[in-house]
Amino acid sequence: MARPTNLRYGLMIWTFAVLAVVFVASLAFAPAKSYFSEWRATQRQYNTVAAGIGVAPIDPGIQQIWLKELGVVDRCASCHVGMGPGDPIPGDPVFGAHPAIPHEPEEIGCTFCHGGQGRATGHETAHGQAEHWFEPLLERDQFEAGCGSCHSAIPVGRLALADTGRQLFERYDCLACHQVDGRGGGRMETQSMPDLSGVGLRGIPADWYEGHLARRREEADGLLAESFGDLEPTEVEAISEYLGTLVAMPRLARGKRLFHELGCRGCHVVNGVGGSEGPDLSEVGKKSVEELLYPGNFRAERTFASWQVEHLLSPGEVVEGSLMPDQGLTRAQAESLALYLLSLRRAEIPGEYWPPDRTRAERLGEREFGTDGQTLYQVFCAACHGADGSGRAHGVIFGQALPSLVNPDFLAVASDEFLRQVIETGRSGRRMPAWGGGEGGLRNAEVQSLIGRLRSEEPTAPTYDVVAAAPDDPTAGAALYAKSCAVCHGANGEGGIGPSLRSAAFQDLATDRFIHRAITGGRPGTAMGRFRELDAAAIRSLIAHLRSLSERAREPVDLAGVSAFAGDVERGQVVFAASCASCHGAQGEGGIGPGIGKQAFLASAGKAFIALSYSRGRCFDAAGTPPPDVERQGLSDVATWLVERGGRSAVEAAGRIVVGDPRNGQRLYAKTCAACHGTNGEGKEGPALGNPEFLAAANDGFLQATIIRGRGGTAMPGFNRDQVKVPRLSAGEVDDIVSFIRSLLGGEKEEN
Amino acid sequence: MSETKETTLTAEREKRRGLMALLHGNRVFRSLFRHGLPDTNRNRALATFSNFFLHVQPVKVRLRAIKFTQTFYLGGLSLVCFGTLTITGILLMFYYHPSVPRAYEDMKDLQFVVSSGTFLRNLHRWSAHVMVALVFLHMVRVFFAGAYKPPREFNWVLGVILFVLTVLLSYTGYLLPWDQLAYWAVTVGANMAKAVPVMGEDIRFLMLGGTEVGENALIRFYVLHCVVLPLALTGVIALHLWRVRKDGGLHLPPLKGKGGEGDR
Repeated sequence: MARPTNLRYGLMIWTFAVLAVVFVASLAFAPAKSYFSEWRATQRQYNTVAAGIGVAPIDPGIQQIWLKELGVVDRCASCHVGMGPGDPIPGDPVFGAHPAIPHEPEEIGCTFCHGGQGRATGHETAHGQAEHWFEPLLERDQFEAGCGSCHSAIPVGRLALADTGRQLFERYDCLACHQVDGRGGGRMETQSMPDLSGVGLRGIPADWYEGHLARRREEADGLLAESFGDLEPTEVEAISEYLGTLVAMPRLARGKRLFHELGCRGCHVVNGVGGSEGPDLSEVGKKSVEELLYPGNFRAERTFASWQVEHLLSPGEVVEGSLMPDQGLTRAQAESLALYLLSLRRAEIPGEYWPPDRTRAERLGEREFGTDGQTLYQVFCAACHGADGSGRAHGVIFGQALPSLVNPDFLAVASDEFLRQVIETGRSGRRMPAWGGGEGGLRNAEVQSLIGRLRSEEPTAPTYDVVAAAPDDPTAGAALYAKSCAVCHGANGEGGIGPSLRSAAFQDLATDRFIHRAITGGRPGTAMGRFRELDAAAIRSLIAHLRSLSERAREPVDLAGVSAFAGDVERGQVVFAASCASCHGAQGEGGIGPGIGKQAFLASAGKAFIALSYSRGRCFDAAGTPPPDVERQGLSDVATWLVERGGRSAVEAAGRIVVGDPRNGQRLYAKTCAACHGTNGEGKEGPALGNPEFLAAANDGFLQATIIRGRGGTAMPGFNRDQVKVPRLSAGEVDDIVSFIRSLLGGEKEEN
Repeated sequence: MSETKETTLTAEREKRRGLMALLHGNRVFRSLFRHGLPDTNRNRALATFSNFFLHVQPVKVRLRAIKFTQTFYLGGLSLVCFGTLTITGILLMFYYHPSVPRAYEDMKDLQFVVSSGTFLRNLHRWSAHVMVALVFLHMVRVFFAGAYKPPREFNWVLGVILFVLTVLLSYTGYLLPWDQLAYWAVTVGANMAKAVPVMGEDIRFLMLGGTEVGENALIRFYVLHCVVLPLALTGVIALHLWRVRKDGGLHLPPLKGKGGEGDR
């Protein structure tokens, strides 16, 4: 065995020695690196600057705001010494003071508002420009987006009203005394008036107007006396609405308002409410830059906001194949919207830190948007159906013609139930999303407001008193009857789709007031639409003409005199189920016979009307079979049950069911309808009729009435008169076609 | 040599040494080391036998065996890595909470405010990577040297167990920072375990302490990483080293021209 030479020994020892030195040096490097850190250097720099201007130096050390409940550990003041341990150095970008804000940084920390990485102690890491850190520091001009971490539901109010309020606020020069977002308050030297910047969050005193008046009276020669005048109640309401939108975050509030004005929520869900066409934006502000896709030709800086701005200005160029329409925004508008999008960064925080807006929205169920029909329409519908409801927004978007909602013919035949169902369940295969409950997030009352908004487009019908006072003109009445009524009620009022108008029973029981109601309000669930465009004289003439159709002289029944019916509710239910339900539906919602369970109908008709309608023979079967025999007491029981219980049923009115011959209907459909609506109702230029949601929402009366009346302003003609290329359809033929359209759904299912 | 004569000789030698004798002859030193200076064969043997840290060493090592190219010191360096990992790991444990989301925040604090925290983490991390590589290379070396052959076949088995434990330590440690990388690595790993036929679902459930990578998985991995696996590894390393000695020290190739079975 060879002994190693001295040379090899020496080499080993030297190698070991060198490695040991390297090792110790590298060990020493670690604490050195830790000691010469960025924050220490920055604090030394502060002390140097401070010494120059005579500000006291600080002892070195990491400074942090630690808020256990919020999970905040923000060490920003380690470098921004002026906001922490040291006195601020005026004008210095790093060591300056924090601008005045309504919050104490010690109570909420820094990163909730500014983003970035609070735990970090270096420049790039703390400002969130580190790899894989998702929340970069918000730019100086975007810091309001940070408010959205907690203020997740600042109110935008009723848009139009708030705007009016803003104008009034400016016009009446409220800014002379009050300050709003740094403006105004020029006359505040002598006495202090509240700054109204955040009044929408703090809450507006309900009696602010009365308070001002009272002060004006007290200080007859004071400031208020010369500057404060009387306001209309509507003006007070508008100003209050405007004040409600003052949240001390002017840029954010502007962006949010613009988002709602443009109707972005028609396609995008925010906080659980909105359309499903585009992506849900509820937490889009949390998206990191790394999650965004950049096209090859993207030139702007790669930040979240710049991506949003470019995308808003030209969606198709940033996201290939984007369905989002180009809204023709200005850059300023796009920046404002991007700020709002960036603010959608709701953070989980303990309840006691919740700002009022979040509490109101998430605990008390208040909406961040106004819930009047006008605002709801603008926020959710206008993007597609147009600001005026004409169905033309941004040209034709999505390659689909969107229906006009303000078409008078449509509103005349569409019942509230139809509108409600279409809004709540949407229409599959179309861009119309379901707006109800779980999907679109709109509440019942809000859908009702929307319906009211649509109804407000209808002409106001003359009241009965006006009609009664109007002159009557039998020839005009006859002409109107022939044009609009004869197709359903028969040329001489003998009945058809609609009931006989010449029968003694109708003539005796129906008062003029009742007929006026039927003409102007229609009968929901039947083909009897509303004829609100008629003026008082026309209605008066029509009623006179109807009376002239009578079989014999009219013997009006004094309904008031026979209203003392005594009936038993429970017996009435039994009798109704046995004798009436087969035609009028189990709850009186209608079937072959018209619906008689509606509260509105029952309220105007009353027990006597129901019972007398039956005994005098208005109850007839479509097939001509005699009505079931119901003895007098049973009749009053039924009437009592209907009035007291019938209308309270939750059953949706199915509407009066049309009995026609679908085979004949198919023949007629192929000839007259298929060219536009497609052979199997799949839709071509005209809308698809075989759509399940459409058929579920539209009752037979709606279909009948639409065929008969047509829809002005569209290619859909009315089939109740002779026209070039458009055949005249009889009432029976209309029924046949409706029966065929009803069968379309079944046929489609078989194909699938 | 009789017992008495030996004792006398030793005593005489120590007497001669004067100052050294004062150091080695006093009661405290004797209570720690029961033998004198290792200047006789007996004392050399005693020094090794009676020392806890040295007793796994063979009393004599052939010079050939400590030649660098013989073993590349891979096993020993693995042991050094394990030592580094233990020390840095214990220091890291002072700063770490195995809970969601404290775990990730603790990583951030180590990075930003703990003195030399980044160094500590990096040392732990690189030692772990290096250890896995060294252990693997050690196995390769043993394989190509044929050192797994009888009588060392059981020690090869222990070596395989050690390798598995090392990899498991590496894997369980991966989850502890609780970042995206950790989360998905463990998700993928757990799903791989699920692919085991018949009992895959159960294995995954056992691993994660539930059906998803969450709080339970974190505490489970933490306990495995910091208690169970290191203890197991220490025990098996002890066994491994003890077997090296019992199997006759390092395996050495036969000397040139002599034939036979090398070190046997």
